[in-house]
Amino acid sequence: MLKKYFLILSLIIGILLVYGFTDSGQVKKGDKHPKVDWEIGCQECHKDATPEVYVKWEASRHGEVNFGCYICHGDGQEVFYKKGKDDRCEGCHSTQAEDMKKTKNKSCFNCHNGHSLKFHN
Amino acid sequence: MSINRREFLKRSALVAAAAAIGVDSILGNTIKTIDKTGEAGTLQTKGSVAWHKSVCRLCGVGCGVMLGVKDGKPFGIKGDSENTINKGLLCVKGFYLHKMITAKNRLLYPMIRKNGKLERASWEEALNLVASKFKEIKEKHGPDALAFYGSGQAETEETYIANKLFKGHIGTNNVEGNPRLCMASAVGGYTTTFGADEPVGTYDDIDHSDLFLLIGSNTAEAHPVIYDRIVSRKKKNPATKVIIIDPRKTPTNKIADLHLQVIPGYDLAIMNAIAKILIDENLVDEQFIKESVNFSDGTNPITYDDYKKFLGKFTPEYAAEKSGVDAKDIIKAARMFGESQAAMTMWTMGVNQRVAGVFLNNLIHNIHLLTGKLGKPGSDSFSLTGQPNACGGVREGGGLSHLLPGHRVIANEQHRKEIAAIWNVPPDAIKPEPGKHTMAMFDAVAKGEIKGIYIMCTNPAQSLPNLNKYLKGMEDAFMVVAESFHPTETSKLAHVVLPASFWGEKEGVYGCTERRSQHMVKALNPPGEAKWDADILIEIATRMGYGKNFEHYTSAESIWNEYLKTTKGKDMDLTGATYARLRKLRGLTWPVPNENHPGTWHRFTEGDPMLPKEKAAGKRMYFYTKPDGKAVVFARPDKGPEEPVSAEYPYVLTTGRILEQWHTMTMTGQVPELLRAAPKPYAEINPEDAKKLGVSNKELIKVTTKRGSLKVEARVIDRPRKGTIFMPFHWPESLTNILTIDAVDAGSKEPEFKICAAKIERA
Amino acid sequence: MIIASMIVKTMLGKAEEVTLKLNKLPNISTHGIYKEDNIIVVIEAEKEEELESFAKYMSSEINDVLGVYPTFISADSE
Repeated sequence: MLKKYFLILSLIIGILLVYGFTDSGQVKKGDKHPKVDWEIGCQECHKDATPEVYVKWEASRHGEVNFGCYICHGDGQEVFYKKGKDDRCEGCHSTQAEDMKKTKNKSCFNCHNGHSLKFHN
Repeated sequence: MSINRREFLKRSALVAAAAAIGVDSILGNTIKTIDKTGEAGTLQTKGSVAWHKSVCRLCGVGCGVMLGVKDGKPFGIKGDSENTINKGLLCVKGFYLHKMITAKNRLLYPMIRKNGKLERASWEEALNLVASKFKEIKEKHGPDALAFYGSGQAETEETYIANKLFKGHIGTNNVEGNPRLCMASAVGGYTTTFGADEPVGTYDDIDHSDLFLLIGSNTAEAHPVIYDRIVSRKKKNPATKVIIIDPRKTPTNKIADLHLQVIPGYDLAIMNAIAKILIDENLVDEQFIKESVNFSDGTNPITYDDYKKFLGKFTPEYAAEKSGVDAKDIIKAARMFGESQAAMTMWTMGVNQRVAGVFLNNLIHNIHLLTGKLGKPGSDSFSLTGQPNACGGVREGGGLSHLLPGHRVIANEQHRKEIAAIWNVPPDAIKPEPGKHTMAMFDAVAKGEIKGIYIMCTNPAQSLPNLNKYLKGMEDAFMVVAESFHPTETSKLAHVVLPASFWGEKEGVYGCTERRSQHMVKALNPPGEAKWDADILIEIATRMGYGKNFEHYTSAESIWNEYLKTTKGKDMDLTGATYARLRKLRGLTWPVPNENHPGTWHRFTEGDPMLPKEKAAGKRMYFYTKPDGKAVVFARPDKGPEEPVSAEYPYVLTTGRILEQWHTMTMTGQVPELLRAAPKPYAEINPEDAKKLGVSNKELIKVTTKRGSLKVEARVIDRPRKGTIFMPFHWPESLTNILTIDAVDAGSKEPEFKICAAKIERA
Repeated sequence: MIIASMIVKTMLGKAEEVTLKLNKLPNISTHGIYKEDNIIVVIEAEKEEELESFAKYMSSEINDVLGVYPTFISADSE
């Protein structure tokens, strides 16, 4: 009886361990992006999936120079941030980031819309 | 006083002090601290980031980049806000440089092919094998059975050492580099027209220009930060106009006022037609022509009247018929150009990668010479360079089979003597005949005439045209590949693979498009057993018995200092660009003849320190690199493509790049975010063509040329001109270059990647 | 209450010695040595006289100081 218990217990633990480790091929950082057809680029899908956001981005300075979604949100599979993170702005906008430190604002997005980049809009 | 206010004031006090001495952030520097107990420490080890000034590893713009290092590892990238080129901005590729440094496919140890497989080896074994095999080949078959193929992405110091080893010591002029595949036609244009290579002006002209003529350049994707400067200029001065001549609509069209969407290969007629209109409508600068311009038909000098007669056939209607563009648009473009106060023409691969590349370069310079739009703010015929150090290392450093350092040529005996003296070799050590140019070189490899080849920092097994012809030869030869990443298409075929230090792991200089030489810092140690390319070459030189002339190099600076000697007194004098200055400044634009000189904006005119004042007296511009100080306007015929379309192959295949990827993806292909932008290979098809073929978006199509066939996903989009398809060449799993043609320009020997004939079928 | 910051520039190589001396003073805090010979110093003084005595101390007692460059001062009359 005890033997049977142990057998089942180790089986369950074994299964859990296997499941726990199978997904570790990916270095997952941040949030989880819904599973989609990863064969197409972000813009291509989001043009239809989230048109309001896409239109705002396309009209912005970032859209003008084709700075894609991945710059702020990561690639989706290995790294994904639902909300763009400030340190990703700093790469090109380090002067502004330094200036911001002199104000009370903690985040670029206090004033700038992430997609239209407009001030307070 | 409440604690909050006090703390705030203390913070403000600290920030003010930090700002005063130019410290980026209190936590962001290599600083020493001593606390109250007298204990010394370094903030760096407690998790702060040290930012190092460097230059981007990728395209020829030369953006200033700060590499952040934390605990000895790459932490992040920031644009260098003090760099005048990009003022802190970056493009999406440069943004991820730090991820490329730590890519999973970094090569960590040497490998030697044993029993058909590449196996790990020690440096001793690998270096001894390379040196002994090269010696053996030289003794049995002569020095010309050896060759070196380098890169416009190698540091100037690395190319200098390779040049010295192969040309000065091994005794072969078979020293080439991948700028042969991209900039050779521009070099040909500049040297025939002006007598010396590289632009007359700099990026600063962008901020003063009223008209931009972009030919064969998708600036928005291929030189994004330059595009941004043009956009800023247009925003600041709304009267600024942009004209594009390109077979394809690209993201650059967003700012275009006029687009001449030419049939690929037939744009020379347009340039001659524009010249004719400028002359007919009196938009030329007769004074300038009299003072500073000669005319030539390519072989003999001709007169201004002869030239006008030559232009007689290039009416707008003729050019329109040849190029598939409206005659009135050609007239409009000519007038816009002629009537502008200041105009800049910029071009890149669409002009250079052609069998008529040098001719087209000459025709571009022609319209600037005829109108005198040169050597003054906002006016220049400004070639955009593709690679970060094609100018600095290869064009200036003499890393091609017909060149020597400091803008010298192999064919000139005096030049050979001067360089031999600096290299400390006998005056006749350098062979008087130029070596084989790239395509001839790889042809010789394919035929077994060249038995040993050293490839540094480039990937010819993906980037050469008509690939299938050359791959077997590379596999059969004793091919040594020095590379930071493995596998690449080339390293896969190598006999010996040597791990090289990557960007950020080595000190050196890059010279970009605008003649600016900039210093890159060594901020990290290379991983595994990787070594600096210059050290690898010096090791090989030593083991081949040439150590005497290489053992005195103690650092990158010592190599640079020797190189500077080759530039003294030349039109590209770099004597004042010492490491001490380059470390502090954001680069210097040559000529910079002494350490007090700030660098030069416009060449061949007042302000150019090399200008011979007495000879130039009274003239606005004096091209002192020509015997009589006059540049040359060439009467060039409108030569078409090598392989025009035919009944069997009715489409034009043109190849190129996308914003998010660099060349053969050895670096950018390691960044998941950049892959996300374009995960699969594709070909752009015009919607009308797609309809005719019955092809829908994302359907698999088969593209065939006389040289090969590829199945690829169709992207139906109104970008390529009807009858043309566009394929990026980035993906190793879909080698576009098996389709391209290896016909070369007669003058520059640059292949015509941009045009060949193809047929398309549904797959 | 006066809060002031300044940069104390020392002779090359002497920054550490000077920092140790400064750390012994009351109301003075140092915040690192930058670019080899610049020390960032913050002083919190109750009265103006304290600033004066600090200045006197700097000029007479501490050698190897090339200069003191004030960068910030705030005072309120609370």
